[in-house]
Amino acid sequence: MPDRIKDLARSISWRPLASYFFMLFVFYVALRFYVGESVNAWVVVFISLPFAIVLYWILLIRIRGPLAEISEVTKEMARGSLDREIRIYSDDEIGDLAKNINLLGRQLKQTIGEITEEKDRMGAVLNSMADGVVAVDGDGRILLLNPAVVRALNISGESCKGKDIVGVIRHLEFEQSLKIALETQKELALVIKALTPDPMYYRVIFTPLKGAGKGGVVALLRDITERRELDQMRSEFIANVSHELRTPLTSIKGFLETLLDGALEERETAIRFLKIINAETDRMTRLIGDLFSLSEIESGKVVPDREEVSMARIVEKVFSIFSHSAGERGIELNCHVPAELPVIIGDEDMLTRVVINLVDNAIKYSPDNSRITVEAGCSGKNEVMVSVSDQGIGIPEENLPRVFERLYRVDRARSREYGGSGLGLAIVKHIVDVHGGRIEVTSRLGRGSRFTVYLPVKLK
Amino acid sequence: MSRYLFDKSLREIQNDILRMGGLVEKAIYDSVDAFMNQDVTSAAGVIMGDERIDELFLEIEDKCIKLIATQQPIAKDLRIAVTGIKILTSLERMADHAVDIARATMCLSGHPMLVRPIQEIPRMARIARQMVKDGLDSYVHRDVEKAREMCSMDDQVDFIFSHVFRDTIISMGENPDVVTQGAYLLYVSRYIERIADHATNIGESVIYLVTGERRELN
Repeated sequence: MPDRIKDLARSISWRPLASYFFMLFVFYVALRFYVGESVNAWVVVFISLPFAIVLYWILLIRIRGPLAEISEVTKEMARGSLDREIRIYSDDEIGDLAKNINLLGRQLKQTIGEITEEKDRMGAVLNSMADGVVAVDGDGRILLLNPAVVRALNISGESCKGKDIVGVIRHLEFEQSLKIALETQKELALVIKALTPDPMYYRVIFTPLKGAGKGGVVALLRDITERRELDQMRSEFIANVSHELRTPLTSIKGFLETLLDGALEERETAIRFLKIINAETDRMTRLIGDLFSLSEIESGKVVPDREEVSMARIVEKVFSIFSHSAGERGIELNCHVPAELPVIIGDEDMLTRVVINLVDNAIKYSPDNSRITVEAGCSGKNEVMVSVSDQGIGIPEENLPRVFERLYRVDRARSREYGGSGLGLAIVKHIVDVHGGRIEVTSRLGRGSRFTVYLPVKLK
Repeated sequence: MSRYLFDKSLREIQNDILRMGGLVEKAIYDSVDAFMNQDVTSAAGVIMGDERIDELFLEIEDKCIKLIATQQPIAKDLRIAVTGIKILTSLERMADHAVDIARATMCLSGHPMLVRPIQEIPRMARIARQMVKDGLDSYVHRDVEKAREMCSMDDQVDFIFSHVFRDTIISMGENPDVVTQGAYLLYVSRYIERIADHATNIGESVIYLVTGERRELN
């Protein structure tokens, strides 16, 4: 009860009542003064009170009701619920106030909606970015960290906001560079290695934060593992090529010096040496020729012809090229080509090269008196298959994925002895690729290998 | 010194410990990597890097001792300072084991590793490293649950260790040529197992730090 009285005392409602009453009372006193008649004060009170109450009632409905509702709605707005609107009662100042508050609420709702949407969008972009983003404030505390960083550095990203950077990313080089970037407020880049099961390399770029969060730094992590691997492959390739070229050159130079030192006088020796030099020169020419055609196919300079090609004819052609040399070593060259083989679209010279390289390899790595089988056929509905299988030395399983790399050799010494350039299979793979086909290899060590090429048939 | 400054120096010590932890994690990673790839340069790098870890160890330990001596902290504050020293010691031992692995790599250089159980080493090292990482994370977050979980991973390491031990002895029995390599492999697996044990010590320290309870989790 006392609360209620207190509320009533606080409320503005009693004031109009009192003032109406007072007004009427003064009116009566004035009346009495002028009229000079004696009227009982109590009577006046009883007469003026109902009027005062009626006047008060009107005021209550017109002002206090809307005000109470406005107060209620604004309270809700402050709490964050912007859905309720004030019913507008009148076309006066209170009505205007209510209208304005409704407008304010609608505007706020729209603005908050826009900001939330923007934030969600930014969050979605950050979360789905492949590059890692870490932002820290001037004291080195984390402002933001996206999931890519968690994945990249194998850290636990839970509740890391506001933590010191060392507490989350324990990487000394990273931290030191971050510190320098924070102090100097200058851009900085470095490469770090992440301690993940397979080592990954990241390029980290620190950039000072501008605008809000001034004094902080944002770090961007980009995965460069692949690029590093490519670089490594390239330098390996260059080293391999120089090695391949130097070996025959060394021997040519050696024999030439011996010849100059006097071996030229002995005709037989000289001829033997010259033959070796000739063979070595051939090998270099072959290697350079292979390198050249490989780079031509790779760079896309040579556009393959698009004519109708019969794989059956190619296989027969290659068969006739090799039957003599195979026969010399007692190797049995078998050929199974069905009569009805669909034609494919491609470059006849290139595809011949594919079969030649495969059969040549098979002969090189087969022992004398073994068997090589070349098969052609249909595979599925729209593929032509050509396979070459031998009973040669085979390829160890762990080397299988790499045999199509340039200059990759399972056994360096041995394959050079057979006279390979190390580029044959790489060329095959590239030709098959530009024809939209694929190549597979299965092999068992000591039992032989089987290379199968699949080429798409011309679509009708 | 005000409470603010005290908190600040405690936080600094914690950050230093984490920094050292990062270095130790890297040392373990690099040493095992070098051992598997027979990479002598990388192994030498680990051995050289240990000096830095030792320096940091002494420096942070001094800071802890100074803090205890001058501030005479009690209750949780004292536990923070004391566990700091304990975690530091564990980390320093781990770094020493990483150096031991690197030394074994140097000694073995030129001998191809033919002993079969060597395949288990990376897996074992991965678990051990995860334990160190989780131990430090639980220290950062004061996460008792994580510390307990981490300690339970030690069983896996012990299990793999016993396998490696048995298989290596069998291999050495079958082929006397691999005895040298087998012996080093036994050492290395033992070092990794010890690293995992030190990681559980960190976990125990974290539990002590948060709850004040002493638990043997090994």
